[in-house]
Amino acid sequence: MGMLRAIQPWAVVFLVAGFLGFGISALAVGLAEDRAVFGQHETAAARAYMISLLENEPQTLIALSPKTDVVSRAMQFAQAEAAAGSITPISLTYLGGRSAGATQVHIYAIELRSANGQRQFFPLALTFAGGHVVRRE
Amino acid sequence: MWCAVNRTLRAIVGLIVFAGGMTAGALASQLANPAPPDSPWRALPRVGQDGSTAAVAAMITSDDARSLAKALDPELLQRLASAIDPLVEVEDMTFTGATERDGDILAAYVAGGKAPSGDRLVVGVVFRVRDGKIVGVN
Repeated sequence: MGMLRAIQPWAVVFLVAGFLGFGISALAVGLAEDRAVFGQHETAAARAYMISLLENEPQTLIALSPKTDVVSRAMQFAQAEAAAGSITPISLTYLGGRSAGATQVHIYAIELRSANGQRQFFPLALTFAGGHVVRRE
Repeated sequence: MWCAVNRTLRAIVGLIVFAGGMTAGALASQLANPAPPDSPWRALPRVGQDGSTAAVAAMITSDDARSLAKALDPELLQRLASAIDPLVEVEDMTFTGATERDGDILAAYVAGGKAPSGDRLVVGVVFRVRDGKIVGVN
């Protein structure tokens, strides 16, 4: 009991400093990305979306897209099934991105071989807002 | 004397605990953003910024419509308009990276500016360059 009482002030100092460190670190990273100091880092959500897109796996795409009705989601599953095996990805290159407030842009270069054997090399920009892909072009 | 030493010691321990807490908090903040999953495919090597795309980006940010009309054909201008939509005022264009495959360079920029509502937005613009000339915009 005495031991607990002795370390209590230090535990409070540690916790307060921990919250401060968490806040300052999150703020500094956010500001640096907003002002494009080091450029935008590729996020786990952006990479997961691209992998799901190229592997034709609609579950993650739906999870990372704004909420839609059941019919739209069913259509996405049907399209994925119809397109299965029609492309073979060759390379996926992150070209960078940037954030402004709650919006993030991530740009990729994709190289793939289509079902007729043709090689394609094209870009894709993902715009995230509120953790969801709100624009893909 | 002993009291002064005790106070100094407490201050030092306090500082160490505080620094430890700050470090732990900063680490926790970084852990809250997990690393991207491994890509099953290779990544192409990056290349530098091409002069033609840098010039067009400068024309856009300096609001130089006359030079832009000379630099890009009408079809590319149309595609550029779609790419920067819904921005009505482009304040800056940041080059984020480029890569090359069989002579085709994809150069990525992020344009920042204002939408008609006045909101600040960012949009991605990618130029396709072949033989030093812009041949596509996405």
